[in-house]
Amino acid sequence: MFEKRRCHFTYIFEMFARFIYVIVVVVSTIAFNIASNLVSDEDFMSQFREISGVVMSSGAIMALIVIGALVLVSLLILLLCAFVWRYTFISAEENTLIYESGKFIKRRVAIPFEKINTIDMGRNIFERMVGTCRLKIDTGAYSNRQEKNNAELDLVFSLKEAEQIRSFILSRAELDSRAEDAETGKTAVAPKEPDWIIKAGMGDFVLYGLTSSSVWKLFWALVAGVFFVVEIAQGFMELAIDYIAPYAEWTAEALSRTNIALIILGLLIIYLISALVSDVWTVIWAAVRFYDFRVAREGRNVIVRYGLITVKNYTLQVRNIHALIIRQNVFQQILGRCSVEAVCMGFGDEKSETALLFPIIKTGDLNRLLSVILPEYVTEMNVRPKNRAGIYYHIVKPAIIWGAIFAGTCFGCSFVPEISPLVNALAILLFIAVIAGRVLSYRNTMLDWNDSVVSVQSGGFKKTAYRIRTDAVQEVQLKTNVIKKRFGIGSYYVHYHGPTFNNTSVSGNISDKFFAGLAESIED
Amino acid sequence: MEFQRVDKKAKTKWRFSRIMALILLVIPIAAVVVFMFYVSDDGRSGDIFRIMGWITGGAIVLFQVLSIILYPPIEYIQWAYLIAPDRIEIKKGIFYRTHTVIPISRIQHVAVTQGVLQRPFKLSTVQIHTAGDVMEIQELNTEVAEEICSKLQKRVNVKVEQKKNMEAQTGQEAESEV
Repeated sequence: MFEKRRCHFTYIFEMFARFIYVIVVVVSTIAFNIASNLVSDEDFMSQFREISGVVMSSGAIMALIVIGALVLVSLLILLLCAFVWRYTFISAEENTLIYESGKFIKRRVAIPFEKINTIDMGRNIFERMVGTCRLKIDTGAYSNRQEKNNAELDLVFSLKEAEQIRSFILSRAELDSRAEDAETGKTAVAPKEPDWIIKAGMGDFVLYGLTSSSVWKLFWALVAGVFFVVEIAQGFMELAIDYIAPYAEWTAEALSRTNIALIILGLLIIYLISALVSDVWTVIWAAVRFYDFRVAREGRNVIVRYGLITVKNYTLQVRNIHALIIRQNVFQQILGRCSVEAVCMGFGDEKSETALLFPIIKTGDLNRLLSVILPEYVTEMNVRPKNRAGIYYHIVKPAIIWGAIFAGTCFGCSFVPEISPLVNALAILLFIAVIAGRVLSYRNTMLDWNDSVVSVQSGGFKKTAYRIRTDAVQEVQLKTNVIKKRFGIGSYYVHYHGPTFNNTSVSGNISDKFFAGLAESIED
Repeated sequence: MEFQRVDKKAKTKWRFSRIMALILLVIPIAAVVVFMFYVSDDGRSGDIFRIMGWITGGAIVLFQVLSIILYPPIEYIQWAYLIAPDRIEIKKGIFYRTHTVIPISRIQHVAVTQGVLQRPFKLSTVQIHTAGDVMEIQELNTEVAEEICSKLQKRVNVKVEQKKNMEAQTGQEAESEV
C-alpha cells in the first residue's frame, strides 16, 4: 500500500500543452477580430492615446491586444491545470489502485491490481530534460477512460517515483516473479535491470530503413509522375487552344512534342534520388525511434524498451498477449527479415500504438528468439497440401482478368501509334508485377494449428502471418461460394479477441477439408 | 447431432419483408429509371438508352422477384444451426455460403431480439456475443429462441465453472510443487 501521491508538478505544463493549439487558434482569432474592430474606431484610438500617452500604430495596438489576450487566457488555463494537478492523486489500497481527481466535480477510479494489463513508461525530450516520466496504466476496458481513446490513467511522475509505482503494481498484480522481493513495507524498491535478450544494433536500423521505405519511394515516384503529367498537360492545353482537332490527334501530337525518352530518364533520376533520400531518412528515423531497442522476459511479463528522443518502456503480461503478427514486405521477404508485433489486451487500442516485439529480425531466428521470449508461440508452419483450384483462384483467374484489362488498354492505345509502345511496355511490366504478386500470394497462403496456436498467413507483396493463441480464438468461419464449394476450397476467417472489436485474420482459397480439424482444435 | 432448420414461417417472413422493400425502395427507383430513359425524352433518345432503361429496370424487378419467390425456399434449406454440447455451428448464404463454429466456452452472453416484421410471425433472433464478434441465428420460433437462449446460458455457466475448477486445480498443483 502507499499513501496518496500527487503527480510531478510538470504535469501542469503537460496538461497545458494539450490546450496550446486550441488556445492559440481560438483566442488569437477572437482577439484579432475584436482588435481590428477597436482600431478602426477613431474614438477608441484617440482615447487610448490620451490615456496611455503613447503614440502607437494600429498594427502595434492589435498585436498588443492579441498577445495580451493570449497571455491572459494561457495564465487562466495554467491556473486551471494547476488546480487539477493540486487535486489529482494516486494511491494504493490492499488490492486496488485508486485514482482521484477534482475538487468540485470529483472522480474516483478504482482499478483492481489483477485487472491491470499494461504499464507503459514513456519519456519525451521535455520529460527527459526535467527528469520525469509518463506512466500509463491500462486495463484494456473499452470504456471508462480518463480521456477518450487513451489509457485509463496517464500521469506524470519523477522517474524514480514512476519506477517505484510500476514496480509496486507489478508486485501487487503478481505479474512479476520477483513479487515478494520488490515490496518493502509501504513503498517499493527500484526494480533491477532485466536480463535483456534482444538488443537491436545499427545494422538492424539500416536494414529496417532500406526495407521499409517503399511507401516513401512510391510517394516520391507519384510526385514525380504528377510533375511530368502537369508538364504534358501544359503541352495539351497549348495545342487545344491552337487547334480544334479530334482528341486522338492532339494527344498524339502533344506527346510527340515532349520527348518520351527524356521523361522516362527524368522520372528514373528523380525516383533514384528520392529513393536515396527516403532511405537515408528512414534509416535515421529508425535509428532515433528504435534506438537501444531491447526486449526481455521477466517472469510472466515481456518488457520492451526503446527510443532516443521519446523513450518507450512497456510491460506486457504474457497472459494478455493473444496473438503475434509477423509482417514482411517484399524487400523483407527477399532478405529474409520480418517485424513482429504483439496483440496485447490493453495495448494498441490508442492511435498509432503497436506493441512492437522486434522491429526487424531474421526470419530464421524468429522461433529461436520466441522460444526465450514467448515459447507459447513457437511453431513451424506446415504447408497444408494446396488444392489445385487454389492455383486457379490465386493466379489464373486474376491473370485472366488483368490480362483482359491490359490487352483492352493496349488495343485502345494501338490507334495512337505515338504512345502505343510506351503503354504496351507499361502494361507488360504491370502484368508481370500482378502475376508475381499473385504467385507470392499463393505461396504465402497457409493455415496451420496445434494445441496452443492457430497460424494464419496470407498476402503477396505484403505478407502477414498471425499466430493466435488457441484460447483467444472466438470463432472460425469458412466462406465459400457455389463454384468454390464444388472445387472444395474456401476462405478461412479466424476471429480472435484483441484490444479492438472484431479482430479477424483471413487466409483465402484453401482446401475446405481442414475446417473440421481447425474447428475441433479451438474447442476446449 | 443433426443440423436444425429455422422456423418454417421464416419463408413467409422473408417474402413479406422483401415485398415491403420492393414497395418502399425498388418501385420508385425503377420508376425513375424508366422515366429517365424512356418517358421523358419523348422518344428522341437513341435505342441504346431505351434498351439500357429496360435492362436496368428488368434486372431490378427480376432480382426482387427472385428474392421473393425463389430465394426463400433455398435460404430455408441453406440456413441451419447446430447446438452441440461444446459448440454452436451456423450455416447460411445462397451463393456465398458461410459456415461458422463458435465454441460454447467463448460465449460472453446470449440475447434474444425480435424485430417489427418478426413479431406478427412470432419469430425471434438469437444473438450470440463473443469477445470478437456477434453471430445470429435468425428466424426462430420465439419459444424455441428463448429455450436456446436459456440452454446456452446454462451451458456457458457450466463451462465457466469447469474452467474455474480446472484453474483452481492447476493452482493447487503448482502450490504443492512449490
